[in-house]
Order: sequence, then structure tokens, then C-alpha cells
Amino acid sequence: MVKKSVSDKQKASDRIGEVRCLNCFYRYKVPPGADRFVCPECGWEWRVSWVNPELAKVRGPMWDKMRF
Amino acid sequence: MSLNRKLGIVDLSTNEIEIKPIPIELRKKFIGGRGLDMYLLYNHTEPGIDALGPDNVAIISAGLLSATLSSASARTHVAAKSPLTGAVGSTNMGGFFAPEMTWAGFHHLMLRGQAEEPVYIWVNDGEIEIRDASHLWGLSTRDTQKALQEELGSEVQVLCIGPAGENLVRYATVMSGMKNAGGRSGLGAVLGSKKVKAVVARGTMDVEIRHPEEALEYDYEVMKHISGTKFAQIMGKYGTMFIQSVTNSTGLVRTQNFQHNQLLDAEPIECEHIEDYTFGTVGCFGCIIHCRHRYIVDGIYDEGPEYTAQGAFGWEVGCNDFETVLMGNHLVNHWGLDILETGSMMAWAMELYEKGIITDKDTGGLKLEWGNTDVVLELIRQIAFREGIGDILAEGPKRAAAKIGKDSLKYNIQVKGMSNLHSDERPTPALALGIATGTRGSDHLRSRPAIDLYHLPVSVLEKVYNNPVEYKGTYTSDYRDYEGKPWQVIWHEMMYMAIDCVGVCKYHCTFLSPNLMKFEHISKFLHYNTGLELSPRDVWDVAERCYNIERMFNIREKFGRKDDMLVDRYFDEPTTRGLEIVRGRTLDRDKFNGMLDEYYELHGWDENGVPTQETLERLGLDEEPSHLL
Amino acid sequence: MQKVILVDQDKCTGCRLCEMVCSVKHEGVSNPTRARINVIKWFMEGYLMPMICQQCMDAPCIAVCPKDALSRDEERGAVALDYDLCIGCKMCVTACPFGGMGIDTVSNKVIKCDLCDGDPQCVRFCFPGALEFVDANAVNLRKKRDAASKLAELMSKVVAA
Repeated sequence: MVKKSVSDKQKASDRIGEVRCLNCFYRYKVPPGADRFVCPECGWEWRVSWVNPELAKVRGPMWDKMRF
Repeated sequence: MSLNRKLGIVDLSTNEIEIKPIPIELRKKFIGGRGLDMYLLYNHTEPGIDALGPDNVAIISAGLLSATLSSASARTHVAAKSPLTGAVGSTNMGGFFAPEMTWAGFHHLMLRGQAEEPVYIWVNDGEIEIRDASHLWGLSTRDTQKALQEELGSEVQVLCIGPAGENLVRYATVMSGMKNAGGRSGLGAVLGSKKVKAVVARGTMDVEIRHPEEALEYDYEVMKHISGTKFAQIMGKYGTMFIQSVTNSTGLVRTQNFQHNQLLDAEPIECEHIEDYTFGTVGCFGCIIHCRHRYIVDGIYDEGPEYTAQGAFGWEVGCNDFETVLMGNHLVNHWGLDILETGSMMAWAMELYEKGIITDKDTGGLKLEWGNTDVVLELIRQIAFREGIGDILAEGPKRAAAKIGKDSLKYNIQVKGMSNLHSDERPTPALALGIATGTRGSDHLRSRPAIDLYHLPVSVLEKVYNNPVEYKGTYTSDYRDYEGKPWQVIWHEMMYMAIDCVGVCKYHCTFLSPNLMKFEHISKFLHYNTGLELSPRDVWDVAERCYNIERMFNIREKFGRKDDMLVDRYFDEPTTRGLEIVRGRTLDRDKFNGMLDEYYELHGWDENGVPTQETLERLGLDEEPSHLL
Repeated sequence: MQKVILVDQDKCTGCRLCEMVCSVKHEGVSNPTRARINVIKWFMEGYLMPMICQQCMDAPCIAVCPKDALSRDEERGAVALDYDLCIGCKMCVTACPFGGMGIDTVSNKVIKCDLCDGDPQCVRFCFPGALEFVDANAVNLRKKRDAASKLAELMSKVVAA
């Protein structure tokens, strides 16, 4: 990994686990290690995966709820 | 110095070889890579020629920054008249071929005429030879490369075609390495028609760096920045497959040809599953993003897969089996087929089969049913070797539809005779305009404003898009809107053209992240590495000039406004799935035409999309073809 | 302080950036054939291995050099090459078991890694971390830590199951 300066690390720590809800675009910080979250803004539920311990991304929706 | 790299002209009919320096005026006007390729293509072809005949030229090139300190100077560009569309043929691939060709003393290699027997071209330290390749004909792309490395040494870099190119499949690729595929436009078939099995490069010549110390420092600064972005970290872990997490989850992927906009229950083909098959990623020359996985499936080693593999062997054909994605990816690369076109043609055939337009009689008993993984893998083989229904599908959208007849063309999702990416642009007008206007046919790599999907604040959009040329209109963050989008499309056209001229990978520029390279970076990289002094605005002007010459090629081939249009299904059939924000949507025909009008006006083109005399004079293109090279 | 370039081929992505920056740093040009480091590839199997001078403790190149142009620099833990003494006989190239000694056909000299006087550019530009410049006495600790974290991961799977 890249060697980061202290300020880089602090900047990054503000955004640890931050993902964006694809339904309402609200930015939300997922708790460390969590594998899903419910968007506090719109209530849509997402599964999450972690690229590294600091970087989360949306993995996909709850497929059983993708029926209309 | 990069600027002293030459053009090699190989006449395959007469076996004559000519080597020419590239005049500095042309460098200033077209830089190199795709831009200069387009100049050469426009100057060395006549309108109306047969793309698979001796009058077509195939131009293989490296960008001006190839093999220099400029983030990822790895890209090889290939140009010709496309046998798939009849428009500009252009394809771009990663790997190590372009740098090796640069170390061998060449930036551009133009092949014309037609050989009688199979040949390969050997490019080595300032010299070019035509050699017999009868022992290689019929071999897969990897076996060809293996044989040539055994013959010439393991250091050589090979660009070759597979059986699909030999069989003149109209969307055959040129390949280098395991997965570097110049896929779009069917240029593998052009090489096949010329009986050129491979081009092999080996070079040991210096590429002088104009300001070495400063170039090292600036390159380090840019690379450190890129490697720290969220985008690079995600790409380095999952490759382009991560895009699926956004697009399929939202409902933005073309599914079962065009019947849906989302593959349901797609968990099994999510990018995270690559971790069960991979043993690490690899990068192209000088690249720190390293977006390709080294994987093993069924005991076979290959690299990738990418987003398009998920599309072609996943949602398009209704499969949700990860190993089919991995195996499909392997087979198309092995035999030298464009993955995107292959997936699209199969999905189209499946919809025709479902609708009864083709039957078991046409398919030789093959049940073209959604989700049938065995049939998918068998169809790839039939297309590559032109067997059974594969012989028809190998002709590409328009010719295959003409052979099948009935109303089959109506179901084909294409622009200018080239299939659309496996994405659904009905909810995203900006992306729709991009694929409709792309010079090489439906295309996400000419102008796709992918960051439009990120719902970026208007202030960020202004910062990105008002440089180095200001837009007078307004932007919106909503990807479903029509406002400001034509300018975004044009900005990305220029960005991608500029990056293709210098031979750097698009993933390092503002494509999938707003935080990456822009025009000022290209300007600085040119300064430090080559000493060519072009301001960011100059780089934009070069890109605009090059884009216009591509457009002029198409106009000369009788393309126009009617061809900058999506198929009716985009306007008539509403989306069926996905999040509420994208469900039930079609494109609005009037608003789309409005975008097209604005797009032409901003370009300085008339209402039929033809560059005006004033525009040509402004760009110094009024004398073309000028035959300076 | 003795420092060594530690190679972890599992992390290598085969991009060959190290080759380019090495040749730019030393020769002012991009040309991997003039680089001190090269990534050796088995492209059909996806196996990659960066190869570089190992700065041997008991170096064959030093042993065969007839003019004592090569010597051990104990302070830096490196094998140093003195061009004033070198006659270009290439015995060191023959003797080196790793290909760490090369021939530069432009300058007609032998070339080897000089650790860029303490700031190796190949390491600096290796963002995936396949090359690291570490204290010689910490090398085995570093490797132990890597091996231990792999074991820990395996153990956690066993425990979880």
C-alpha cells in the first residue's frame, strides 16, 4: 500500500466506511466490518463489502426486495 | 526522444517497406496515437472501399507518451475502416506492445495491400521484416504468442489475431498477452483479410526523457494521488467488475437483450466472487491501478474478467453463474472475438428464438434459451469458427439481420451497426447521447460521461467541465435530466481523444472518477517527457481536431444525423425493473433530438452533423487530405 | 545502517514501472534493457518475479573481479562498483548467479544496482509494495509478520467453522 502522511490519514479517517445510497444518494458511514446497512434517509437496505478495512462499497441490494 | 519515433509503411502486396520520420508540424496538430492514426486513415483511404479488401489500411500505433513517465503509458491503438460498420474503425488496448514498439523505434505502423500467404511482421530496433507465418495460421491467440516467443525470445511482445480474425468474423479482435484485446470495430478481421497473423516487436533503443529528474518527481506525485483515490483502490481489488455493483443494483444494465434493465438475483456474479478464483492482479506497462485478475477456471489460466464479461455471459444472456463469466471471458480471448459484440449478438439471437423469428431449424437444434450456460459457451465457438448459426451471427448486427430477415433488425440494439454496451441508457440521457454519437458506432469509450451517475454537486461539475473551455449553460446533478449533458459528452470526447493520442489508459483520466487526470496533466506530461510544449487549451484543440477528422471520415462514408440515433426501443419501451428512480422510464424523443441539436451546435457542425467550413478552418482541417505523411 | 531491497513476488503486478524508473534515474532515458532491475515473467502461467542484484554477503562478482573494482560496502550493506578501476572484462556478469550484473551496450560498461544512494527509485514507485527497502536486521521479522497474518487468517476461518 501507499505510504500515507499523517494528514492524509486524518483526512481519510473522516471518510472510513463512507458509502452512498444508490437510491437517494445520501452519504452514510457504515460501521466497521458491517455487511449491510439500512439507509437512514430513505430506508432502502444494501449489502456492503469491504475493499480494505477503511474502504467500504455497496455490494448489492437485498434481492428478495427487488420485486415489484 | 519520443518525437523521433517513426512511421513504418508495409505494403503486403508488393513486399515493399518504407520508413518515414513524423514531421513535427503533424505532432503539434495531431500529437500521435489515435489522433495521428486518424490523420493517416483519412489520408490513405478512399471513400467506399471494401474494409476487407486490399485498399483498406491497418494502422497500429503507440501514443506519443508511450514508454515514458506518464502514469500508464501502455496503450496500443489500431485503426482501419471498420468491416463491422463501414465507419471509422478504432480500437485501443493495454499491455506491453506499444512500449516495445516504441523501444523498437516506431510509433506508427501502416499495413496496406494484401499478402497471398500468411505472414507476420517483425519489428526490431529500427527495422521491419515480413516473415512467413504459415506455421502459425489456425493457432489461438495464446498459442500464436507462445510459438513466436519460442521462435524469437521471451522478451518479444506480440500483437496477433486468433481463428476468429482468420475466419473474418466482423468483430474479431487483435490480441496481445492473455487479455489485452483490441476488440471494437472488428480490426482482427482486417488483419485476417491481409493475411497478417501477427506483428511482433522487440526494441532496445533509448526513449530519451526530456527532463528526467522533473519527470520522475511529477509522475510520482500524480501516481501517488491516483493510487490514493477510492476509485483506484476499488479497481485494484475487483477490476471493472465493481461497476456492476452500482449499475445492476440500480437497474442500469441491458438484460436479456433489451427486455429488462436489471438481472435479478445477481448475487452469484457479483465482483466479490473473483476472490475465490484469483491469485492476484496484474497491471499493464507502468500502471499502478492493476485492474486485471489472474484466475484459474477448470484448470485454465486467464486474466480479467471485466464488466463486459459479466454483461456478455451474465445479464445479457440471463445467466447468473460466475464460472460461465470466467470461461466465456477465456474463450473469446483465446479465439480472438470481441466480447461485447459476441454477448450482444448471442442475446439478440436468444430474443429472436424466444419470439419464434428463428427456430431450431436455423440453430441446428441448439436451444437458445435464456440462462442456458452450455449453449452460451457453444455459441461462442460457433461464431469464432463460423459454424451453424454462428456463421450468420459472425456478420454483425446489420448483415446478420439482413440474412435472417423478417423484423429481426428491430430487436437489435445497435448504433451505426455496432452493438451497444450491455448497459441500459433509458434512464440516463447523457450516456445515451454518448453512445448515439460515438464515431466508431455505439460506444462507451468515445465520450461516456460515466461520472454523471455519481450525483456530483453542481460545483464539482463546474470545476471539471469548465476547463480548459468554458460552457455557458448550466449543469444538473440528476442523471435523468437532459440539461448540460451535450457539453459533458463533448468534454469527455475531448478527454478520451487526448488520452488516446498520448497512449495513456483512460482509467487514469477523468472517466470513472472526477479526481483523475485532465488536460493540464497531459500538458505537463508532454512537457517533462518530450519537450513538446502544448498548453491545456492546445491539448483540447488537438483533441477537437482529431475528433473532427474522425467525423469527416464518417461523413465521407455517407454517415450523418440519421446514424447518430438510438433504436426505437429506447423511446418506446419503458424500463421494467430496478430502483423506483429508474423504473418505467424511456428516453424522450423530442428532448433527445434537442440534445443532438445542441451537441452539433457546440461542435460547430450543421444540423446534419457535418463540420461547417468555418469549423474546419478554425481547426486547420480545410485542406484535408493534406498528404503530409 | 544496512538496508536491503526485499522482494515479495506475490505482490508484483508485472507492470515493469521499476524497470523504466531505474533506467530514467541512471541513464536519463526509458529503456528496460539498460535497467538494473527486470521483472521476469511466465505470461502463460501468470507468474512474475522481479530480479535484481542481491548485494550478496559473499559475492561471486567480488571474488572474480581481477581489478578489485567491486567491493563490499559494509556501512550500506551493498556491493559497490568503482568505475575508475573497472576494465569492463565482464567476469562479474558471468559469475553472478542472479543476472544482477548487466552490460550496458551504449556506455560499454557493466551495470549493477547501486540502491540509488539510499533512495531506490524502483521501491519508491512500487505502489503495490512488491519491493520494499527495509533494515537488514528486520527482514526476517517482516517476513514472519506476513506469514503470521496469513496463518491468522486461516486460523480465524477454522475457528469460525
